Amino acid sequence: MAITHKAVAVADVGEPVANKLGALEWNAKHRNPYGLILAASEFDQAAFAWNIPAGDDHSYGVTADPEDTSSPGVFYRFLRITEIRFVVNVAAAGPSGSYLYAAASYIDPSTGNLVMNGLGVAARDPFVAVHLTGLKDTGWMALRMDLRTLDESTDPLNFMTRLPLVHIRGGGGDGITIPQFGSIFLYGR
Amino acid sequence: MSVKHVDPPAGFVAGADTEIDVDRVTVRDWQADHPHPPFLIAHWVMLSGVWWAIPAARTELWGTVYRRGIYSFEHADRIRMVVGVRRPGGKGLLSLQYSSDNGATWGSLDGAGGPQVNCAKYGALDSGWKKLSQTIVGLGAASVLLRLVGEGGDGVISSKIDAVWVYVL
Repeated sequence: MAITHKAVAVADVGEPVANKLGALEWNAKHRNPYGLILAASEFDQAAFAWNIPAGDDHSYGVTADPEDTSSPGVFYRFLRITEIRFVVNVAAAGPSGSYLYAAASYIDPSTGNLVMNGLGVAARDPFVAVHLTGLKDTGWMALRMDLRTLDESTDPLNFMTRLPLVHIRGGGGDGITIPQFGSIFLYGR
Repeated sequence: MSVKHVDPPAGFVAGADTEIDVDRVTVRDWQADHPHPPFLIAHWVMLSGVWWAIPAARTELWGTVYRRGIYSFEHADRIRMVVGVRRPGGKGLLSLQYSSDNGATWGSLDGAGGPQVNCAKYGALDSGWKKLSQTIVGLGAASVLLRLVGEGGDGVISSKIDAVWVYVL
């Protein structure tokens, strides 16, 4: 778990003695429930559908225009988040090899370039195959740590250098077989 | 509230909480709950709203298993559901349920049917905070399936459900 007390120095709390706390204990982590980062569900009763194009790494909701970065999602501050979990309920299967993952897009403050990767350590994690119907769950996976430090950027003029856009990406489609998703939940803790 | 420290460090004696010195804390302080805002754990949104004539018999939302989610309630102790119903006229109860056996059996999260709202009304219908049952608490970190079910309607007159939010503390 990731919630901690505000850090204190040993001198502020005292060395640990019987029945008393030292700074190390005070700074220890806490246990807590976890919550949603992103939820996507159906746009109509028949579940929401995405005709995933062929090839890899397409962003949901954008056109073929390479400058179109308007994938729907949320700007999210990952401070204190260390793990993510991606749950996708596949209502209609995509073609063999099709997949979704939860991604973050942001502008690297040091280079000015747009970065678009999975939230996990591997480029497409958290990854779920969507060629079969049913509930898919990645379980808890480590968050890419560079996402946690983005908010330390002090560039006041460029929103995306401070907060990554969390959105859905996918690939491996055939442009014909249209998978449908009843629920998509992305959790962080 | 349910945010707590992990277990007290070695050397602490349970109950030895009467002695308080300046700049020191005791076991009781260590184990105290911490206030925190609710965690949103599930959100189903229907952008255009969806009409549903809730049947009399208990039926999963729109008769499909593909709205289900997964969550583990470790460290949570209360739950609340808010449902946006845009038009009155329908009737029936909408409830959140869990399954710990992959959908073979289902139960309520508070052990008393809740969280649940009555869709005969409209607006932001609020179940209020419900204490999680001891069964749920006993599951610890185990993941359970979540689903929405309706029952008690007439299967004829619909309510328009815009969104469902589920929170825990």
